[in-house]
Amino acid sequence: MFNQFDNLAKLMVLTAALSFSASSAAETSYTVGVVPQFATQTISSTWEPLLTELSSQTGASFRLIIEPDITQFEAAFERGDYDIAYMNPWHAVIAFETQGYIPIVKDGAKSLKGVLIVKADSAITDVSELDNTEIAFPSPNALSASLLMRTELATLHGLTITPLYVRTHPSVYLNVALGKSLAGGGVLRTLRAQPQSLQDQVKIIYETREVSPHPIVAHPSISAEARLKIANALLDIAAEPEGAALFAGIPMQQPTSAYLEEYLALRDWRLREFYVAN
Amino acid sequence: MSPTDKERMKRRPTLLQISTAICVIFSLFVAMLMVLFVIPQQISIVETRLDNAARQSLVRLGPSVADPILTSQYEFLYDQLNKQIENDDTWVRIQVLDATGQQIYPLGEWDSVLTPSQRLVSAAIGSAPNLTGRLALVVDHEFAIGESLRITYILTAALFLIIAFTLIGVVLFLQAAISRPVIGLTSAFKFMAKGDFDYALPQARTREISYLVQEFSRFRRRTFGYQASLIQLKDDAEQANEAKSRFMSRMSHELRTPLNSVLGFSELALTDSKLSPEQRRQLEAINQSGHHLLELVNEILDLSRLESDTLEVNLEPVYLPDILDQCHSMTTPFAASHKVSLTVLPIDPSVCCVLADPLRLKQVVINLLSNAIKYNQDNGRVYVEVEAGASNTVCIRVRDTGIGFTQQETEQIFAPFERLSKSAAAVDGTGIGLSISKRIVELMNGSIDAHSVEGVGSEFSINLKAAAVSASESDKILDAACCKPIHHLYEATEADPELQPDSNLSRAQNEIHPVLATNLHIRVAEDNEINQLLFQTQLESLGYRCTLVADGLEALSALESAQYDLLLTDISMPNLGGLELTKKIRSGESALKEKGVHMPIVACSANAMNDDQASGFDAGVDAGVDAYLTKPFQTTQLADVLDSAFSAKQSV
Repeated sequence: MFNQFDNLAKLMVLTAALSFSASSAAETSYTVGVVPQFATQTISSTWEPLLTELSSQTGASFRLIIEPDITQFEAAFERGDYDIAYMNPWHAVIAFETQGYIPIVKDGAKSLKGVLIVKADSAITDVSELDNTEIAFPSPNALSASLLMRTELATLHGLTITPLYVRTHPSVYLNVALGKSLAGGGVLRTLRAQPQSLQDQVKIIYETREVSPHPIVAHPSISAEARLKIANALLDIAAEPEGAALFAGIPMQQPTSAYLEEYLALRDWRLREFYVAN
Repeated sequence: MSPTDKERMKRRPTLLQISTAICVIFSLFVAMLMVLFVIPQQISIVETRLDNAARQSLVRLGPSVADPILTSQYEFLYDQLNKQIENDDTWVRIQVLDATGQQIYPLGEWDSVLTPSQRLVSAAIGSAPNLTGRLALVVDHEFAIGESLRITYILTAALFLIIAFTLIGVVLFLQAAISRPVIGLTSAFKFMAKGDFDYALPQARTREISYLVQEFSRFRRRTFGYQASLIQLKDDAEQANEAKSRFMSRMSHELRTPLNSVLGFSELALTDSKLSPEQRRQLEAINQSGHHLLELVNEILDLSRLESDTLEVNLEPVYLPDILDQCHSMTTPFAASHKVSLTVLPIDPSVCCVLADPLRLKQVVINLLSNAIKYNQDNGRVYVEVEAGASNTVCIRVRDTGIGFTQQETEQIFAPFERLSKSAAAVDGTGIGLSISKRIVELMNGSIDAHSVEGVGSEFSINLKAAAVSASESDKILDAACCKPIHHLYEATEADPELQPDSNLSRAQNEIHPVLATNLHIRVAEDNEINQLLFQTQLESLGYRCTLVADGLEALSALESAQYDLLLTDISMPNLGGLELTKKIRSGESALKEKGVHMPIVACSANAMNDDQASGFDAGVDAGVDAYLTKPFQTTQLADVLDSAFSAKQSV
């Protein structure tokens, strides 16, 4: 299954490369990377229309690159493969530190917050009861659900836990609902997206601090003028109802300008200690 | 064919009904086969196949769910199984258990209760000893089986239609090939029975039927031939019979004419008081023989009429005491002459009436009485008694103390000309009296039986239908019952002068018409010279004057030239017959302006066969005669007839 996604992504890269070489003389072309937190098909169907619209606004062309998993995505932005990228806040910090990526647009509607859930009929009411237990997480560096949660459990509550990485948020919730893990880390938004029958079987016992939502970042090789143009174009698109609908699919409810300082604050939260490097 | 046969035939089924019944039975059989065997079998096969297919699918699903189970990445498992259930109509629900037996999928409770159409299929994930878990699948084959059965139903319906059309075709063919020709042949049979030998025969479509039609055609031709010859034979027989009747009629006429002279003259001669006893005995012998001959001729005529079915009887209620009284009176002299006593025993009023022709009944009774007297012994006795017979009949029994006859003779006694050997020599008779009596009684819807003990006597019984007694008859009976005992006891004794031999003749002599010297003038038309002489003698002895002519033409011219008081004419004469003569006279009379002119005309004839007394009389009345005489007749009869003719003239 994953092999199939892999092949599809490679095919798209190849197709984009061919089209880029054919039109490079006439217009500026940018590569766009998106964190693979959803299925490849979902990401593609959400981003392609937005990029087409962006292209018509700016006159430049945008090529979407989807990596099969987070690890490869992280490797890609650390190498500076993307001109523009959509990533989680901690990735934005890493991306700034490795390549100097600068956040330009973020979701202004709400901040991101991790939640810790246990089974609905569980006797556990406090995180302190989870010391020395196995807790399910989507992946090591998923910001709110995993990285921030693990950091806070260790640094703020002094707990030692064994993480079980189950790739996706629904798998985390299912592990808890089935009783396979005593607790699991997720985010409120994805939990609310689960079927009611699943939501009914779990309860939230802890929430992390808020972080700014996922930003769209731009590589420093793009001129400040071009960066501004792209940022403005994105905000213009979001101002129109059709454009807002396109952003909602990302999901980004209320696009607004993003600033590097908002994300650099995360450096003080000791996240780096719990970040799992490739 | 009796009505029960017809009923039975109507109850038998037609070819169409049988064919329809076979169709229905066959269809039911096919339907039962489908319902009881084919469809259950099909359902079983389809279910087995679908179960196998479902199990195979589960086995294939195993590896793809093993990974998520082992890596706890349950979202993939849920996604996959949700999609699988969504896509497959027959999959109702899936359960996934891990190696520990814990339910991984679905999240909620597992419903282990199955509906009748659902089936549970399960498969292991991985293989022992590294068993990852188990898959359980509930499938519902109802839809698939329904689809499969739908095809079966369509097939069955098509099969039914094919069978129905085939059978209808067969039925129609059978109708055309068998039923219709058979019905056609039946019609031909019916028409043949009615005499139509040309009715069109049906067209045969099969060899068997064509043989049948061919044989029928041959049979019909042959039957037609037989019928034609039968008709020919019948015609021949009828012609022969007619010839015989003509011969009888002629013979009767030819015999009666000389008999008329014999009886007439012997009777006239006996009136002569100057005869010696010897001459008287001889004349009486002549007269008696003449009567016997006349009786013979009459009986032969009766037999002839009976054989040609021309003798008619008029049935009416007959009052037996009167008839038996008359018979007794008529046979008493004969009994006396044979020294036999004749007794009519008392008749109960309840059996005094029968349904019969009075004249013919009298004839039969007289015949039986005559036989009883003839075949009796000196001082013998004859009894007549009447009693109720079986089933509303009346039995008239004539019993005698005569010589009787054997059992063997009893069987022959009613055969014509069968005279009993022993008695034939001693007693005179024609031998056809009993035969005639039997057939007359049968014509009157009755029967006649004979019983005898040889040397002791014999007994003849006439059984006739009882008739209701009319009011007048009933009064008569009551009167008789009040005034005197109903029984009439007639005892003939030698002392009675009435019963002396030949008393008939004596009475005739004594009763010769008293109207002498009237001097009336009678014209007699008669071609036979002897009869002319007889007429003359008889008329003159009665005191009439007469003038003789030989035929009608002469009579007509004589009548024109002279005045006569009466015309006595024979019917069969040369040149102009008696009836034609009468017609001419009557037409002449009606042409006259003077009204009230009427010549009395008496016609006479010896022909008693075709122009018997009744029909001859009718023809005479039609022609205009006033009275009619059958030859031979006695002088007294002639006197009576002339009297009635003159009285008719006076009344005109």
